[in-house]
Amino acid sequence: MAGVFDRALRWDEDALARAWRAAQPFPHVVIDDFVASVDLVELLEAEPVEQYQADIYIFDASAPEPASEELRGLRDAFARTLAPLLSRITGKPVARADMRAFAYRPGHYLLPHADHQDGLERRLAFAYYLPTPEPPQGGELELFRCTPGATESALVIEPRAHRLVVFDVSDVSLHQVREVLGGLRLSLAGWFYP
Amino acid sequence: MIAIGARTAVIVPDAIAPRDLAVTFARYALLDRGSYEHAAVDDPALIARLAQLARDATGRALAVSEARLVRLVPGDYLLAHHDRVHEDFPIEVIADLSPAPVPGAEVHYRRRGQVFFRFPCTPGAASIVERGPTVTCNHTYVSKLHAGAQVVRLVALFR
Repeated sequence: MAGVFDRALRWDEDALARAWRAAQPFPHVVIDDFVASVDLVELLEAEPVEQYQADIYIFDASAPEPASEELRGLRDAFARTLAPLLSRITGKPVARADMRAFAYRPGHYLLPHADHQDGLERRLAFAYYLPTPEPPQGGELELFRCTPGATESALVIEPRAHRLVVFDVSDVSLHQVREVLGGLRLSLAGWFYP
Repeated sequence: MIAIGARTAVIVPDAIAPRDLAVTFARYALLDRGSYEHAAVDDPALIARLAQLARDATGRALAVSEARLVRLVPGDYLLAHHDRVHEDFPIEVIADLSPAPVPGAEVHYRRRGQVFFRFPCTPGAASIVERGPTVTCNHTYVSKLHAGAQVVRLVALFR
């Protein structure tokens, strides 16, 4: 798994730090072509997924702790490479990450929520979009601006293949995955922790 | 249908006749709680019918304490944490006034987070559920795959 994420080592950290601080409606960065020419989908073939459903979501996903050596190795390489960079870019010291594989099919969604939960120590959220045989219609990541008594859509980010999105975790970092209306949306997503 | 997990949780098919709703809805949009429209109810005959259903199902002397209409279109939902906990075991009656069935549009009642009772969108039907301190309720997301769908529910509490 070594080297899969080495493109990150050539990031312009100062530019990304400025983008992070200036981003609206809350701190985030969008990085395209995050990984090149590596078939991560093939690496994930051994990872079992099942359907998860609650009042705010329905999607297929791997278990919180990866079952396969491949996904565990990918998660560890991702955290090892990105944690030092993201600590400097965001000013939030992070050291480890979790990672799950997600498959959103038509009718799947994740309704507006903030990832902050007392006691969980989530500092940064990430989503990395994988290439898919049928690019999704819908499935965008939508960020909301929270003001007293109201929430309004502020930014829509397309789930483009090889795009990495990192965003702040706080009480007001409200976001959703819009319903997928066609195709398949594949991603690796999770959080960074101290 | 009777569910385990509440002393009363039933669905009464064909409980109410179709009606023409001449009301103005207002949109609720604190999106981490819900996305839907709501309106006051001005239909004493319908409320009286629902009160009778609640009395018949529970054997309790009940009078309406609150009622409102909610309308959901594709993309709408009411989440469980938008719901209120009721300590005094009122009876909640939901009458489905939708113009047509909408697949996947359901009301879920949960006990300590686990769904114990589902009320699918069935025009003309009513659900009767005893609320309590551990029971919450959510109205599931209405898929945008059902363009033009409309779910209308009268939600009434009886004590």
